[in-house]
Amino acid sequence: MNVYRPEERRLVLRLLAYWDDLRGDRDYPRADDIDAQTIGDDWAQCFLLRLAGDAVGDSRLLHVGDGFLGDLPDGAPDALLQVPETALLHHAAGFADQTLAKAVPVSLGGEAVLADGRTLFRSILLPLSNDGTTIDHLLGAANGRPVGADTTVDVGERAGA
Amino acid sequence: MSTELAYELHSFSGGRWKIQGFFDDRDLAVSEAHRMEEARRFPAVRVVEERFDPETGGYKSRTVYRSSAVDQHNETALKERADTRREVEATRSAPAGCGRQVRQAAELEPGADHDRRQGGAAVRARFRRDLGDQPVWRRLEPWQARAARPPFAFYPVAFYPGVRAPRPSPRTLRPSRIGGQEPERCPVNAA
Repeated sequence: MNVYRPEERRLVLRLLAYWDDLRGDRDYPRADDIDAQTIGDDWAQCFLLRLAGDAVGDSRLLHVGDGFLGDLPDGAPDALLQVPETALLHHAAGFADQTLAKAVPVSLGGEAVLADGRTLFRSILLPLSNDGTTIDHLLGAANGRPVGADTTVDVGERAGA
Repeated sequence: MSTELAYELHSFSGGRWKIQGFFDDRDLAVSEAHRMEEARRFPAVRVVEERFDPETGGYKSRTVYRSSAVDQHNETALKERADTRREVEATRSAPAGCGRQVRQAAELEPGADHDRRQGGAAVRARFRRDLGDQPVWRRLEPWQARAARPPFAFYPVAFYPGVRAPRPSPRTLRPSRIGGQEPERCPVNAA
């Protein structure tokens, strides 16, 4: 598996480690610091939001990983507002307000009813800033598995990531 | 998703704690704290549990994990002190003059420190066995001890355990102490 810090089995901690290494001594890394090659296979479970003003719902989706497309029959939408509630992406980005309020990485998980049924998911949102102080982008990642599944089959991977 | 129980990851820098991450899972927060600890970017990290209190409508905080360079140093120092204490006790439990041999035996015998309550008997037994069952030391009978000692004149009174040194009599006191006279001082130090 070609990922950042392959010894870490949890996606959110791999991405958090990448974000932390990327920022160095800064509070936040820049959006254009992100290198999909370095993130590797996990890039399919990532999405990138460009924040638009005060309304998080108007944020533009600059990247949606292949792992989320299984829940998005019409493909990746342009704005976060257009993401249906039955998509993992909706739940993964659902706490963007909380991330902006705390101004730190936030990782939450839970159970959601997706198009495929009830799913346990885990997600993370990482703040990015081009000027070093104002958060203008969010890098997110999420994966999950159907409730009751014995093995940890990734929803994203199952969707053809 | 429930946020009644949340975990904040804090780092200590510039004299204050600063939040570095927010989780709803304790394992994730502590794992990330371990990673930050290994990165050594901050002198201390901690994980604070925030529990929602419906009675007050606020959050109750408690630290569930903390690590700092000072804590690690203290842990190492405590371990070294315990090792030293164990070594000293093993030496004390052996007869005089056999400290080095007992120390070596204690190092060879993994469980030897458990036997120190029995006067190091296991250590001595192990030592005897290794040397072909030959007694390395034995308790001397009083007459043997007296015979083994050199003449009395060569040893101070304190050499003999249980014998108190006699109190100095006025005749053995130095003249300078009689009558409260101070001994002559060195002129260099007196200046």
